[in-house]
Amino acid sequence: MRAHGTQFGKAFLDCGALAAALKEKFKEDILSLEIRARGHDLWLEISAPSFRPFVENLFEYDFVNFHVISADDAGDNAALSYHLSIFQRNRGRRVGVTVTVKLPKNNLSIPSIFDLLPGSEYSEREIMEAFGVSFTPEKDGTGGGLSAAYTVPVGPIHAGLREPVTAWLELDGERVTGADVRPAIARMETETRVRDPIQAIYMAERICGTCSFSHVICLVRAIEDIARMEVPARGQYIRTIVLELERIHSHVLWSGDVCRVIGFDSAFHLAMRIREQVMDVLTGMTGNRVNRGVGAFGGVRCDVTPGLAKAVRGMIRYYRREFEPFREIVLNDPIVRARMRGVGVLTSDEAVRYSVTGPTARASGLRVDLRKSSPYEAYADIPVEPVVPQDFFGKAHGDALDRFAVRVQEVYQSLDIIEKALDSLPEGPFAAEQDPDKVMGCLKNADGTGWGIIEAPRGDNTHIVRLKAGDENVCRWKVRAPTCANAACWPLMFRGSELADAPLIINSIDPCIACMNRMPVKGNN
Amino acid sequence: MKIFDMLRVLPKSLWIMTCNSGSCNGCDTEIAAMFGPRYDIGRFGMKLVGTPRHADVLIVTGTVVKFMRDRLLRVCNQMPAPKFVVAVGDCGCSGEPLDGVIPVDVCVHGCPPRPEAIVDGMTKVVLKLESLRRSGFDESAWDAVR
Amino acid sequence: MTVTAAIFTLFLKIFAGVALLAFVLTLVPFFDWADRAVNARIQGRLAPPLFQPVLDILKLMGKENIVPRRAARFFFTTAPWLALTSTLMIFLYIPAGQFPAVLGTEGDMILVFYLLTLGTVAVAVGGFASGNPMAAIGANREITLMMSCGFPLAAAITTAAWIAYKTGMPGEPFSLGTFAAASIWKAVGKTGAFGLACLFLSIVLVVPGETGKSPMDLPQAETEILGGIAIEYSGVSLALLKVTFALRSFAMSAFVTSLFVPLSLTGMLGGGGFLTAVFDFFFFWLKVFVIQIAFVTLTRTAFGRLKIWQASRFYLVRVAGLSLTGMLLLSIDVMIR
Repeated sequence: MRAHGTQFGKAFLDCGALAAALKEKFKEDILSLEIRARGHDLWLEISAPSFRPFVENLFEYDFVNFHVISADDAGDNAALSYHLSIFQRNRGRRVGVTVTVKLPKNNLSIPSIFDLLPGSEYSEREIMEAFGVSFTPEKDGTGGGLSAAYTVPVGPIHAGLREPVTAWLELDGERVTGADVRPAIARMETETRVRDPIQAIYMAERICGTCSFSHVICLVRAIEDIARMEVPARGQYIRTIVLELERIHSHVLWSGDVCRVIGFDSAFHLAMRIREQVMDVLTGMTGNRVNRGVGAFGGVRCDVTPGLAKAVRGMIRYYRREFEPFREIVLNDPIVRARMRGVGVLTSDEAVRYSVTGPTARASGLRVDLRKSSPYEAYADIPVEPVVPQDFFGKAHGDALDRFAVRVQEVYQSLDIIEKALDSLPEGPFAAEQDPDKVMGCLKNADGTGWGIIEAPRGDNTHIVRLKAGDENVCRWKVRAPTCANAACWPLMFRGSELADAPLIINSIDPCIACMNRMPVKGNN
Repeated sequence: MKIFDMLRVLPKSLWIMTCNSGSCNGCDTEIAAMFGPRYDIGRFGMKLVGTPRHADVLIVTGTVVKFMRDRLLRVCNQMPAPKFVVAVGDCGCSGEPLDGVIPVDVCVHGCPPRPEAIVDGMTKVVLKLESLRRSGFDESAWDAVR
Repeated sequence: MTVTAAIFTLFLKIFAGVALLAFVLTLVPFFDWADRAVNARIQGRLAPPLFQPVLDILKLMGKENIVPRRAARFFFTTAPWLALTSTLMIFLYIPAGQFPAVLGTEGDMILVFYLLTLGTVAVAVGGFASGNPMAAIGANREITLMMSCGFPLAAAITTAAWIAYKTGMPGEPFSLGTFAAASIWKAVGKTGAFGLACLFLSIVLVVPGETGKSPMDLPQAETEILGGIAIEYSGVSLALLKVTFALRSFAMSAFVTSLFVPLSLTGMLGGGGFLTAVFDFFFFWLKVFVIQIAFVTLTRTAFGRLKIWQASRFYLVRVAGLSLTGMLLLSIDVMIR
């Protein structure tokens, strides 16, 4: 395990300073370097032999979080882009680093960074299968099989799980001695066909039912990054409001679900009843409960009228009153504590190595929240503090109860954010350009690769999009949902657990297999 | 027990099992809402069960991915007759229809359908049973209906 | 006793037994409905229709009865019958109001305890015979839970019998008729009342464990082991199992009522005769209803589910400790009186 240094000490992690330091260390190995001002991101290209030392050098800064590897066809070469983030824990800052390495097609081989960042395993495997790149040293293809006579599958069709996941558990009585967790592949076949950006929005919505708007905004931000489109302030605020409403809905749904899994039906029904309020508000605002078609390039497609604002405030008051029982459950209920304390433990070191994100990472004690580290949309004006269990339990255990507590507290945090956003909602247009033809015209000329990253309810959502000038369709679109990284930790969480805990552990990271398994969209070439 | 009486009793006590076979979870969320207090399908006597042996109705969401195909067939075969299959969501009703894998009785369209629409789908199962009863259903033909 | 008298008594007992069991079987769907209705209303939902449990059983009887290929056929099909019979028989030993138990002279509390255990073992055998690992896990849990609940329940029973013996309550100490005739609460002093309260509380805590409802519904956990012991049952066998589970709550509540709640309106208002006996009879079932709603339904609604070792530890440490405290207090009470 690499020690994380503090090269920058107590100073803010700054893109320019980082770029200068990297340039000095690697000099001519860095073939190109660009700072994208909007996302505080560093995009650079490096020569193949110095790739591994470069990544090792990055560990000198606070901690490195791996997002995804996206690949592209560049004539004679295959260009692999590693998307990483460097987080500064105590200051809550983040710099996104995209390292592109060009590999000649007759020698598709690159050193693996699995030993530095185990969280990169799924992405390396994906690239290996899709593009035929070999990562040295070679790893064993399949995971070790389970040998015990008493192996029980939990899932994929299971009353306790909403997802098609199979957890093969080796059992000794009720104790789990080995676990092999295999998610299903939930691919939509239509994704492999080519689409233009506005059609891509509709597909992005349907990647996942519970975080649909997050995927849309992520995609839209990636494309706006390429096309250098500006979003008016009012549009940003409305996006923030809808994103936070979605976060509330997702967390309340999850809270109910996790209680149902431990047999606490009354809490499940309470959560379902409460959740209807936020669904009503979302319907009033966007026109639909789940797939809300309000994301657009350059803004949104709906507006917040005074009547809607009043309804939203009513909803906030309702939640402040009615969600109290869940706070009580987390803090006081003896059975919930007995069931969830010490179950599915993920230490903060493991969370860092496996690049876990979102409430799962925060429950392990990491103070990282993209809304604070790289403020996007209206978060630059509305301060957000990462919710960590140290604040109310005094210590972060990294178990299921901590994850429950973090999500419950985040609901209250979202209520505050929405109220602040409503109070300071700026006047003006909510979209830069409302005519879709003009938008398409603008996008047709856009060229380049964009990286959209936002804090979805489950963690950080990443979309990498590549557009080509003159081509109407999206050239390449890679989606990495937060569950990709969080799900890699399931075998770690199953250590020392019991059969009765299995659905609880699987559900505690708020999995969304649908978000997770996506094919990158290939262009015609 | 005579099948004729069964057709009176079955619509009032349908036990439901849900299966996510590769959906985006939108439909599953709406189904979860359907069991909740606002749409409350329990007042019709419909209950959520965890095993196909107890179930009368299998609700399938999503398009059938390769991973789930076998398992779905097995689960459907494990259900005791009489049984019904409801495909919820546009994924299972069109595009990659569920009908090609297991015989479907009711399709509920929508992406995702509102909980009221899914409750309406369950009503259609009840109506189907009513029409079977009115048409003087023959016991030996029950296997044809599954 | 002459032969004619013996035959007459036999026929009387058969008649009374059948009548009582028919009455119990008519009552149990409504108790089950009440349980579901209260549960639903507390959760903010609407109650299912009044005859829902009856419709459920009728529907199950019309479904195909599948015996899995891997199941041990004989045990799989006979286990629900055995469970139902043994649970039904419990009612023959419980006196209702002023009427003596049908087989009151042939069996006592120890037999009731045995029948409860037999019911549990039958259900567990059915689970083991299902040929499904989830069912085997459920059956394991059922047996473990039964063994854990056994101690506090046995302690409560023997202490109550000992009190009946020591304080000279008329009748056999272990017979439930003794507790119906005279109130056990009146037989003890202040300290004893505390002791009895401890015993009462420990039996009340045992009720969810014996009946398999929350927070101890581990053997049939839907969301963990998908229905546990009942996972492979369908059709008629499942109908029998469902009736058995409903009857078990009913039987436990009746047992608790007959032992610890000898409240009787006619006893308070005075008076006798056949009409008051009939009235007392119905009043007894009303008491059972209240006990069931209070200790089965409300507990089921308010709590989640424990893990097996947590449940076992709860019974073997806390509830056993509580019943031992009760025993101690009652011994002190007897000694000082």
